[in-house]
Amino acid sequence: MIRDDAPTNQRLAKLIEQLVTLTKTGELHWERQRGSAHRYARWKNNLLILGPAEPLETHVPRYLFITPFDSPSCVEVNSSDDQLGEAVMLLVKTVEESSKQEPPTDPFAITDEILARLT
Amino acid sequence: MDPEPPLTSEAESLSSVPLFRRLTSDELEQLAAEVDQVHYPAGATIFSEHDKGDALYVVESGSIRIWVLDEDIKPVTLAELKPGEFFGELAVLDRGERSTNATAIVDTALHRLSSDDFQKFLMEHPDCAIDVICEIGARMRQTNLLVSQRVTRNINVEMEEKATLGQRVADRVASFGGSWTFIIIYVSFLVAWMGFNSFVLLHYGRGENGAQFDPYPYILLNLMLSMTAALQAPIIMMSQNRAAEKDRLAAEQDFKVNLKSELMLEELMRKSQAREGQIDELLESVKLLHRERNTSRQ
Repeated sequence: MIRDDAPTNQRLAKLIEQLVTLTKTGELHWERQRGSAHRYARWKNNLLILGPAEPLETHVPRYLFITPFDSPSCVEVNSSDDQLGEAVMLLVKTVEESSKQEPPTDPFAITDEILARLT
Repeated sequence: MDPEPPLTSEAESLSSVPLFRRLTSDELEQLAAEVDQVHYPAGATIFSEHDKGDALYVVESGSIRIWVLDEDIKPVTLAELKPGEFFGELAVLDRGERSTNATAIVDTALHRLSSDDFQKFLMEHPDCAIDVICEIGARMRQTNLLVSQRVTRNINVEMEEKATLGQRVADRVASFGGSWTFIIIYVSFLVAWMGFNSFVLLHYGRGENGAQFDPYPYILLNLMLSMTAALQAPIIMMSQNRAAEKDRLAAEQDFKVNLKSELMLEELMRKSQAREGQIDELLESVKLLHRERNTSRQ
């Protein structure tokens, strides 16, 4: 999905590096859903998604998907990419490390808030 | 040397447009005489797809949205144009239909240059023609990028484009193997084979010592059936694997779109609640002012 030219690759590499740093410092908060390897975060009015749903152990290529909330356009960088693949995997590992203690969100969970609204 | 006379307001306005920056004062005045000033309120349609292209527009003030409907009949914004930018040039150049829709985002003022005048202008100013070509090229690149990078991609089309010859053959075989046509042909072939070997060859096709080609219980036919089944099973499995991969990618795509929609809705709800709070505060202030005015009157 990304254009195969050096300046674009460099910019994307810098962007991923920045995301890694922000994740390490805790400035970028990644959320996760129960039963899925997806991680997502909001950053500068963009939605960042790390996927796919399959666990890391399955060796399915990972991707970083970035889309602005105010536009239909998007950028996807794949871990099988020759130049950016390693950077994506580093980000995946960093996010896994940082969100290990994060309680997963469960859209089907019965919460007090939902019960309070119903009863 | 006499100082140049000041430009008329129309020519002054045109001079700030990058497309006309190479023109002299006289040329700007000449162009201003040919250009019409048109105004559109917010939301008004300047032109629609398939309209006849009869004029080029340059944004003087306001903002214009250029958009098309995609295959799913959803509007896709190709560009939002600001003052100084032009649009509608393609249909004017090839005298064909409009390829996009143009809508005013806010109250907008435009310069309108008719098709004939624009072509005459380009013939007289080749430098400007090159600027127009450069701009068209840049827009084409941007459009290509936008179309290839939309969030909602068509997984079926992408998978079809990436499929190898073997995968296409597997899909065709699986599709044909799972049809009534295949069952009818196959049953007809079996019945014909059995009938031919049981009746025709039994009476007329005996070889030396009364040997038959494939007598009951049709050993050769069984062998062929087994071979067909053995080959068909992995081909169908290949096709099923591809279908599973397609489903997986479609599920990923759905996740991305759903998550984006959900978070956008959350944000809208949050903004809506904030607006409601502001409206309540304003109402309180109005009530307070009303009470104070009534008190002061008394």
